[in-house]
Amino acid sequence: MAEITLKNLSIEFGDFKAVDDVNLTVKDGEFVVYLGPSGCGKTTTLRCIAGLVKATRGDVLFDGQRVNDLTASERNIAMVFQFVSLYPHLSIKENIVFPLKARGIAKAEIARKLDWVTDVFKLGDELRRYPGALPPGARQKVALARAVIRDPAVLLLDEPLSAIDEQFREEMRWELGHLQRQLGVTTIYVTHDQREAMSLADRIVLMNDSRIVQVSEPDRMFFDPINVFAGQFIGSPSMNLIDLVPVSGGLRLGDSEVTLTEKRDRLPQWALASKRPLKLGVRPLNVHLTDEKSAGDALPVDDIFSVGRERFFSFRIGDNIYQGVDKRLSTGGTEGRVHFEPEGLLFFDADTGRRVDAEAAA
Amino acid sequence: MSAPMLQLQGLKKAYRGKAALRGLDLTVNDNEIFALLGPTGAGKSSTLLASAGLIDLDAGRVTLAGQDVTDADPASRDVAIVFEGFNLLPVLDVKDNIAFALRSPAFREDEKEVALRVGRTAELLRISHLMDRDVGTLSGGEKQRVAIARALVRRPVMFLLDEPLSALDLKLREGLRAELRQIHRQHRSTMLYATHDYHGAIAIADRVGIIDAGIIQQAGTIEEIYARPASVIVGKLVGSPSMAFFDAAIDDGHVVVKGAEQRLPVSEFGTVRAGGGKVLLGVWPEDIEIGVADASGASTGTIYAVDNRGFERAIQVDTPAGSFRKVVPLSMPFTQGDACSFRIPQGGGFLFDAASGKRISQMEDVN
Repeated sequence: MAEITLKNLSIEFGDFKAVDDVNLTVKDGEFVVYLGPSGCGKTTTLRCIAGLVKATRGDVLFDGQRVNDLTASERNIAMVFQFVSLYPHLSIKENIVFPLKARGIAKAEIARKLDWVTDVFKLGDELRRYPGALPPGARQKVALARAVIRDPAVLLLDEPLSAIDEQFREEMRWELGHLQRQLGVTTIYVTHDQREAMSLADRIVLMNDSRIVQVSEPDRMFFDPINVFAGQFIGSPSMNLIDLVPVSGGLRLGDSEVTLTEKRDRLPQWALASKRPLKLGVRPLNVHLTDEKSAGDALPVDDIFSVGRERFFSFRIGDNIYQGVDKRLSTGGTEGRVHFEPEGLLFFDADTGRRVDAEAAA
Repeated sequence: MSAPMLQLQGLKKAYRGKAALRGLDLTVNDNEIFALLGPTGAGKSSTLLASAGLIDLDAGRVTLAGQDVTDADPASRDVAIVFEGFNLLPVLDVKDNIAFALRSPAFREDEKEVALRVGRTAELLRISHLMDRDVGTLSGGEKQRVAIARALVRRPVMFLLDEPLSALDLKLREGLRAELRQIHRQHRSTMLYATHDYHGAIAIADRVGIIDAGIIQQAGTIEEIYARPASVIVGKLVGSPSMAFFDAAIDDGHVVVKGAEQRLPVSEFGTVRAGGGKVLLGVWPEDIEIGVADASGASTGTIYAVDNRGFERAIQVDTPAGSFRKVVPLSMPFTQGDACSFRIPQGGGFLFDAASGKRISQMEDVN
């Protein structure tokens, strides 16, 4: 296990900057998830840590030692990809111990290590079977066992669940979260799925356009996004984004007559004084149903439908439709007006997308 | 009670000796969105194909809008079907793909009407800007919208939608789901919507049919299914997380959960059709009370893993009687390996036969 540091890392392919001046330290034993849309540079970063892609500028450090010039095999990394490649003619047990045998490790040591992964991964009966006989999720688990049996400095996972059927994916996510903490191995995981990132990560590294947007613990990433991109990329259903115009006495919502009076004090004075257009970010779960017609920010509700103990609804401002979800058990709100929970309001600059109401995580 | 739009009775279908439908019965009412929820291989696609007349049934009757159409060919059935795999016509542009069905011999419309409807549907699905494009140049999400538009442009008596959104990314899926509901509201159309995604099903459907092993295991509103789950299979396919199951036994008038402290009087479960012996205790995770370890009179478990979800987190709890998952508020800071206590509240559980999986406890109806 090791601490991994990226120092001013840039990776260029000709004129294309795939990774642009990235700094990050992954602590020993930490589970870090790189999250972003396709083409954002997350996989390139992972491949550079693995030694499969050269850094154009900057350094990759393992426990403080510069590894830029080491080959992939010299770095003691383990990598698991989207598509598992187990040896079909070898049993699960033979697949798992293969990396140790290839290194000429003593038999007793191999047996000890095998006992350990068998125990942690609860493999038992599977050991004697062959890859073809296992469901895809179980095969991915075997690939993981094979990856960690030789104590890698870091475990690198590239979209390991994305090729697995949706039904098994959630199961594997639970397993993966459990196993990583049991193993305590430094793990860097790449995905475009915010659910996976939120679920698994100790810290999320959100990337866009070759740069890091935000590095935060999942909770912080969710409640304190640094800009519109972070706010909208994380969370489902998506954060509502509503035009906001500073007017005397408050903030007007889009084309509506409705003015938001609460929380105005959280805005920096310059944002109000400059009369710059703003955006209000509010997650659907922070929008409630109310009967309170006098509330300044009450808006008419378009469509309500109940699902189990939750009520989903939409509301309109001008031509735009927004979403709300009310999880409270109260039966109020049947009059069909919406109320924004003040704690859930996030303010962004409409042009730059930056948060203007708080210093979000750096 | 509205009239049935689609009635399937005793449908049987085997492919090369492998049964896909094993006597499936299903009624979809006029003007409702009915979700068919089940895992891969449960028989969802076969049910839709049989409704559309695209497979030959081994047995059973299909009634559409009051007409027996079992032996009617697909072209004469007034339904529109959307598959996961688009099946657009590659030689036509987007506009003509959408208009295709309006120009078919059976449902021909005049060209003025065609242009009007195609334009309106394209607007609804936000693909107006793609009208002259070749379908080969579209992204997956755009293709799926065109496929949905092509089905919607016709006003069939019924839509058959087979995992129509599963190939799309999350944001697009949310948007299209809302649009489908909107379309349903405007046109009062009947929809049969097959999916393996619980969230997708409940977000769109008026009623849900739980399908597994080629038959409908239970049908009803999600509230009805929650109140009276028919079997262990239903419990495992419904809810998020799904139902928690504990190995238990009936002993001396009590339900005793394996390895747990709690003894629950059998009378709390209503009428129970079993004398004694092994049962499965099923509880909706929302009803399980959870707290820090050592709460008196509670059973204990260990946190196996934690799943952060933003506003809340889900935990998996391992217990001697089985493991369960539950959503807890952020104020409960559980981490992996922690001990916790849990209690099953009075009247909060259902008893199932350990062998057949059928529910054996029956609460009296409250109303």
